[in-house]
Amino acid sequence: MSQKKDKNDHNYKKNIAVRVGNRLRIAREALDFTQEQVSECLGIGRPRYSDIENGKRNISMKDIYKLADFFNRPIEYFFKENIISESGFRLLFRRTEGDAEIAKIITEFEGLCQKMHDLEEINEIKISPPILRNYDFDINKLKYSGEYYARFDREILGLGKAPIKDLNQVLEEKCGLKIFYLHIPEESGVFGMFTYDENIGGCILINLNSSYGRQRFSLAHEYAHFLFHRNRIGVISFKKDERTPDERIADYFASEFLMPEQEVKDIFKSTIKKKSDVTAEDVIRLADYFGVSFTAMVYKLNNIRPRLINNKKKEDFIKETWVKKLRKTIGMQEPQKNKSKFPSLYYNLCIKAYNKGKITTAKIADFLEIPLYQAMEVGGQLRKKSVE
Amino acid sequence: MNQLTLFNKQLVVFDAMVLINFHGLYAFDKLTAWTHGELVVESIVRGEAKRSKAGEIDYERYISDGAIIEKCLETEEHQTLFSYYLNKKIKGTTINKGEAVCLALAISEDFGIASDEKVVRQEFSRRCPGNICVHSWGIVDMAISLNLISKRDGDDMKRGFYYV
Repeated sequence: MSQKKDKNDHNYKKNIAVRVGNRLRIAREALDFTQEQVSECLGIGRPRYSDIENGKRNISMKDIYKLADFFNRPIEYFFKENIISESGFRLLFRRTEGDAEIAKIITEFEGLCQKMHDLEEINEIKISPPILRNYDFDINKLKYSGEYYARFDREILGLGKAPIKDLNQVLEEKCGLKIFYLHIPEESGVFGMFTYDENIGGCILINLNSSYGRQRFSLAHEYAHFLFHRNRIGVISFKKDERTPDERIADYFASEFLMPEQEVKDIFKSTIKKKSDVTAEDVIRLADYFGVSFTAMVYKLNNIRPRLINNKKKEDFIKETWVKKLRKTIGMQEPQKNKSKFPSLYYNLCIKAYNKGKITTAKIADFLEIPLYQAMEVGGQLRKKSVE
Repeated sequence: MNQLTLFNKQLVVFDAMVLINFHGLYAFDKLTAWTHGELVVESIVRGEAKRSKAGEIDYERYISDGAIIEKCLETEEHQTLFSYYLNKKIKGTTINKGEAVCLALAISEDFGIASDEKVVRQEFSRRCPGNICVHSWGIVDMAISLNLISKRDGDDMKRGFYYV
């Protein structure tokens, strides 16, 4: 009996060493570090570190704390039995081509998806996409296909012709997407990214720094990747790739999805009498109505046939750098952009889990990434509310 | 210094919420005096209880004068238990890494535990019956019974705690 217990104990310890070693390897490869670099960080030889990655040797907790910092991963990552599949993220990491800054953002994105997955598991629910449709298209008809599927998708989602007020909510609730927002440096040229896995569904990352209109356009664009390219598992939308077919069809889709041509024409007709009279102020009003950026609206008006603004006017408008100033002059505030990194569903699941006693107060602090003393206040308020 | 302490020289691992509760009421000096040399803080817990609503917690001062003992998970047994509690729900509740650390350290070293999470205390009592297992209120009650604080002041303190 005791021999059996010893054997189980031994196996359990061995499993931990293998698991920790495996996670160390994944975390190291994701950030493109060599075993030499990591062993140097720990002050040990490479063969010894290699044994740790292979589960042949134990690593001390002190060293795990050190490497958690080094790899920008939470301690839990190295010990948890179930983590989300890394295949999509591995692809994203590969696409960074060694850009450490972007790799760090992907690590954080992966962490957020993992937490969302944990919350689903804790609440015993699984948010998966509805029936996935096949969006085949002809590569020679990108504009036609992108716009056609945008209209088709709006119909399927029951969106009618009106502008989509809360795009996040629509995509979260009707499409089962998990949408996160993080600061992505402007100079990285990354607008957003997308990953798909059968177990976690579609996950989208949008730049928290972008303007309201830009965030919405990026979101519709990444949604297009989910529809057209989810079999690729991971896509990063780089500015440098904007002329590739994948990015172009996603742009055509996003433009029509947010600004349905017929609706734009109707509104234009009813508010602007003569095409030659179109002012920047008119474009701002239209952009705000459809919830897009000034630039996206200018392009749309120019792309519609017959053109609602000619090429010269388009160029003039695009060149304008005084849109913000003009907004101030005419008293039209820029719409409020999303400022939270988590989807609303994430908060709901967190509160639900807490109210049902499925997570502790300290776990709320982990999920919401707030200091524990603040989580204690949140916990107190939630308990008060549930008593009332 | 031969002063009266709460735990009779037994080491007790403190969870972050207890530390925050006392510090938030400007009673950290009192707590560390009552538990001088008995209060164990693990480094993950220290990271979680960096501050309270009363400001930053200056552990170094208490560690250097021997009031707080800082410990780190070190042994294979610590690691095994830590991993176990990170992956296991206790009575249907998922605990966080700081709580898992406290359980791992207290169980494997046969210390006591001070935690404001009921599931953590229940699990500890199940694993180590007879060991010290208290929450913030309990600590104040012990201090009252040892005349380290008046009943009135103790009751005021208990009312001020966030959560037990």
